[in-house]
Amino acid sequence: MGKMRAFFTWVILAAAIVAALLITVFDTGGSASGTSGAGDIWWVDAPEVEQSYRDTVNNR
Amino acid sequence: MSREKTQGKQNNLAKLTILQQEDWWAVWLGVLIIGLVVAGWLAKPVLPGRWGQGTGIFSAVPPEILTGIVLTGLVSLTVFALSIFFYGRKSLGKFLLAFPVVFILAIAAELLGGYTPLRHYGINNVIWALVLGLFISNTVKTPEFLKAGVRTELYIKTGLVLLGASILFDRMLALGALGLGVAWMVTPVVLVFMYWFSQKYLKMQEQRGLAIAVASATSVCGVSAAIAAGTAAKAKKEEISLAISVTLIFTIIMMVAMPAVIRIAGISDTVGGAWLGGTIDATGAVVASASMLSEQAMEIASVIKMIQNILIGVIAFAVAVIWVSVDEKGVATTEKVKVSPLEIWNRLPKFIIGFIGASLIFSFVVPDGVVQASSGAINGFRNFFFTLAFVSIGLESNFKKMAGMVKGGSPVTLYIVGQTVNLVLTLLAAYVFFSGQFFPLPF
Repeated sequence: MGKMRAFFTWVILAAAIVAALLITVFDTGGSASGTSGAGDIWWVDAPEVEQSYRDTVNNR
Repeated sequence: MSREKTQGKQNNLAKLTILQQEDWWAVWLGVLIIGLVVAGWLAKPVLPGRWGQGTGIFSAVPPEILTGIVLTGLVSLTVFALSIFFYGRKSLGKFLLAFPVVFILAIAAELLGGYTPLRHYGINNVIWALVLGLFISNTVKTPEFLKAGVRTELYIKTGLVLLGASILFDRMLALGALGLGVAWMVTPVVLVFMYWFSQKYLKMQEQRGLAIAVASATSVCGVSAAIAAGTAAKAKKEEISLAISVTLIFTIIMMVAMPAVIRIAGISDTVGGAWLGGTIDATGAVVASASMLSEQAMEIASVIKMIQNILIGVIAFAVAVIWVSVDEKGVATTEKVKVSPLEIWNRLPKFIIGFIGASLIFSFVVPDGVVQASSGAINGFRNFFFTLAFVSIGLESNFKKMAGMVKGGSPVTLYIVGQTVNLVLTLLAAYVFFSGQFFPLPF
């Protein structure tokens, strides 16, 4: 059971790594769109978050 | 480590004054930097900019910013040298020689991390810092003289105190109770479930720090949560790096795949936005992903993520207290031992005091205008100190040791199971709170 679990885990991880590489290489996420991306790890790094907060508060 | 040794170490620490402990110095340095910034005496650190969308690498470091980069190095050197002067004076000379090399590696990581086509997919300064450090330590080996500049704990804890200043509790009601329903109800459930699963089924008793780092990164906000909760749990630095690596791979996929799933399934933009905000780990990835749906989805997703990010302060504090009062006891001995409040205080990682203190003061005491004006500089230094920390982690890490941690695949299984539960519960919460079927929408 443990070996089976490990096998499926590695298959999923390998598939995930390949998928992540393909997404990055073919730029499926549209890096040129100008929005923040996965490299902006905190909300202050993403100006859209502050703007969304201000807009939400103003609209309420 | 035996209980006697742990107890002895704690007693020795308790005897040191607050000016002789590295842990306390993270607090003092954080307070010093925040104070200088708020007083207007310290500006935003100057670091390489973004490049890569039609611009070359040299556009990230134009000649006019070189002096600023050197000044950033001098400020960083001065603050960290000040602390070492008090708690480790013997090594101060060696630190002064080694720090410039660590600084140059960190600047190189900032430069590489500014390449926008890769940064969009998570390959940022933190990842490059780790890669550069790991490359050196696993090829030519970290030179002996450089080890004096490898102050992972000091850099990371000072960065965490600065991070506290951007955790603004007064923003948690931006979307009313609906936002809390998605961001604050599901997150703790997923965190507790993942930790329980890691101990009960994956038998990660020897990897409790890794388990809580993966669980926090999955349930809250990726890298920041892994660093904060992992450090609070005194996780090994390789464990934090591993948690970050696993979440990064899946974040890239979720960022692109989830908007497609939402469209195919015919989920509304409000529910879809709330779902994305509550599940995708990195804040910037939430913005990028929800932008593929609509402006409204992006706004809801961003604010949900912001509310969820606030939880990091509560979770890091809870993890620190639980680890020193319950978990350390469990690891150290099988016998039942009562931990006194004084012992809890002695064991508590002190950076957590600065972290929570900065958060509460910036949430409820400092005027909003001052928070806005100072956030650029405080977050700039926080960001750079994390880069220094991850260069250091790389320089003292070893691939074999990291590979050993994934043996059997437990951290990956933990992530997959936890993220699956997270996706299901968050979708349910998003539907209940943001479909308009049960509660009127606040916009």
